[in-house]
Amino acid sequence: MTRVHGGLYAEDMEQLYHGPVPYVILAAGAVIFVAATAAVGIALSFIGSLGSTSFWNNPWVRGIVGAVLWAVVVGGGGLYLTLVERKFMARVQVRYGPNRWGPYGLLQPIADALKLMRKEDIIPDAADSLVMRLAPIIAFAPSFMLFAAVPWTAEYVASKMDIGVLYIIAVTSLTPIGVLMAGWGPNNKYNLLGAMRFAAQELAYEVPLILAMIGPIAVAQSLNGVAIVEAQSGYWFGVIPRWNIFPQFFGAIIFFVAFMAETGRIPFDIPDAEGEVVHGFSAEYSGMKFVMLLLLEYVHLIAGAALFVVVYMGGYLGPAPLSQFAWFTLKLLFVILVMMLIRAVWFRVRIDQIMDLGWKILLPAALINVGVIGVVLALTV
Amino acid sequence: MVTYEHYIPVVAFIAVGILIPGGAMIMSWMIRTKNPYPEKLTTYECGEEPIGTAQMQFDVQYYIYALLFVVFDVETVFLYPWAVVFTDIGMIAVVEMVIFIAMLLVALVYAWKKGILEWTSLSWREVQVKMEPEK
Amino acid sequence: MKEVAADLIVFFILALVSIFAAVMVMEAEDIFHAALFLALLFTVISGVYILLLAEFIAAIQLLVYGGAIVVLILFAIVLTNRAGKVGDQSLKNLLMRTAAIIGFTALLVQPILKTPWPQRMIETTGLNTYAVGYSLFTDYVIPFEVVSLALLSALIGAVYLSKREVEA
Repeated sequence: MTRVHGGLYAEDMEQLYHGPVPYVILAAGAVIFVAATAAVGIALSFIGSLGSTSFWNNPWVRGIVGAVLWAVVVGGGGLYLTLVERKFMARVQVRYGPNRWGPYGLLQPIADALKLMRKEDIIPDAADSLVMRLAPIIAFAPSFMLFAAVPWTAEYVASKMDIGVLYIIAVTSLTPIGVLMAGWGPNNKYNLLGAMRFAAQELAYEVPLILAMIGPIAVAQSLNGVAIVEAQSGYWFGVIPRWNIFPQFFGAIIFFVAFMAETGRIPFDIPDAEGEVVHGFSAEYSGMKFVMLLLLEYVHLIAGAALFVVVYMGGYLGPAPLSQFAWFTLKLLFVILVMMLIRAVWFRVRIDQIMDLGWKILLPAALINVGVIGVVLALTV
Repeated sequence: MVTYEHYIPVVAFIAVGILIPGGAMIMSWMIRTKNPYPEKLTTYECGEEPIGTAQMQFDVQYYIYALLFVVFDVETVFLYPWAVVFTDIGMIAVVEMVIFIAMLLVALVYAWKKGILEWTSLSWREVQVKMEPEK
Repeated sequence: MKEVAADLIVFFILALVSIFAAVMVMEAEDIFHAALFLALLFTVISGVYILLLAEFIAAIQLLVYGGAIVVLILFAIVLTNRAGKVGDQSLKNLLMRTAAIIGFTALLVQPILKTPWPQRMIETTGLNTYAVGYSLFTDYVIPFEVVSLALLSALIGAVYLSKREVEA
């Protein structure tokens, strides 16, 4: 047996690359996914049929049920996306990834969560302890709030407010406050450096992000998420779905890059670059507070991907065999996997390069994009 | 018609958004270990004694980016209602908006030419020269 | 009439929180805490806008004040050398501050009582954003274009100030 780098044997590598295993896993994953979404969809419609329409339209019921469902998605997603990410990146980089706890490492996130929960919570003497304690909550709450206006299907949306996407942008803009608190509170240089970098990066990409949504809004003539999705129904030439991503390709690219930068992941992870600022604004945090700051990244990931799906990829729309529910989930997972693929193969870029990309390329490009879309739409509609 | 109906769910989301981190912290508070001692409670600085306070003076460049952000943020706010109504008003609204965008592009180009979009006033080569040890 | 009572209760909660936050902006010993109370104040004000059914303005309030302005102020605090705890906590100073707050409130009593407040909410037809957009691009075109000039001059001012600081 020839042993190659990283503890893998050449035969194993052969299996990983050319054997039937990847295809079996892929097929099994697809089957499990379709079955699971169908089961959840049926369960939800069954629960829905238990109460009367007026009961489910009661705003308090909508709010509480929606919030709990999204909490499950964000909590479970945050927990298991870490595993998906590690396995997926391992596959891309020809490694195994976690495989000790449970079959295929399926229990790894639970082991991690239990371990982190038992960790000692250290508040340094020099810290501003109240600010430090509140920071994870203040950073997390706005990022969770934005899901109130994200439509999972035409019916499963907690709030059908008129200002939908503007509300999402507005609450997202509160996140830097929580992060700056996490930077200031512990009185640690790495925390503050990381938080300042995060905030500066967030500011640089927020404007292109807002501008990139104007095209789809103009098509729908509404800020409401459901209306934006409905405006994308139908097909061109009977085959190509009328998703905004096709005519407004540049807008979609600007939006994708901008929300990738807002999540602060590789290639835009200069705020928590381990080599220079030791995980940035969460450097001094430990235990559950650290988990909350870490979860923030995954909440941003889910939120950004959901927004991209709603605004550019036709949201819950799709042909009949799959339900609206399944289509949205499928598209969401697709966008998240693309982000993970980019993370697996890319490198970290310097902070001046990040700033240049935001202010000197994306911002002018987004402004010109808005102008062109405006003229074209006014001439054609 | 606008009613409060759409904002009551938001209240529920705020409550759950605070309960998730709050609840997780309380749960971990109940089961976690507690063993503080003075060395553990010093500020982390790669194992060295921390030098000074972290709440120190930062580069002015951050503030300049924030100022630019406020200007462009206010601008984009005007574009949202425009995107909703412009097809109903017609070409005149597009012309108005193109003038508006052109004005802001002028502002951006001005800021660019004045060199405040640069992360550092030195070029990357100059930074490298500065960081090289003196011989 | 049950609905109106609920409005009133929510309004008083928001009003009390906003007054508390506003007082704490001045009273907080740590300047960073003061900025955080300012953020709370802006957020609560946007809640008041929602109570007035001005949802578009509420979102703008959050976006521009809660997001942009507060981050600007926090950056400004981090930029300056921290002065440590500030403020004179003596009894005399406290009395003077209280007197100032009461005095300004007293000045406002007259205008509040004299203003003919609308007795009921004006019925809004159609949607908020649409109404704002429509009147902005038909009746108020000139002010709208002037705003772009104002933003341009604000940016030139910012460039001028920062260039001076960078050179110094």
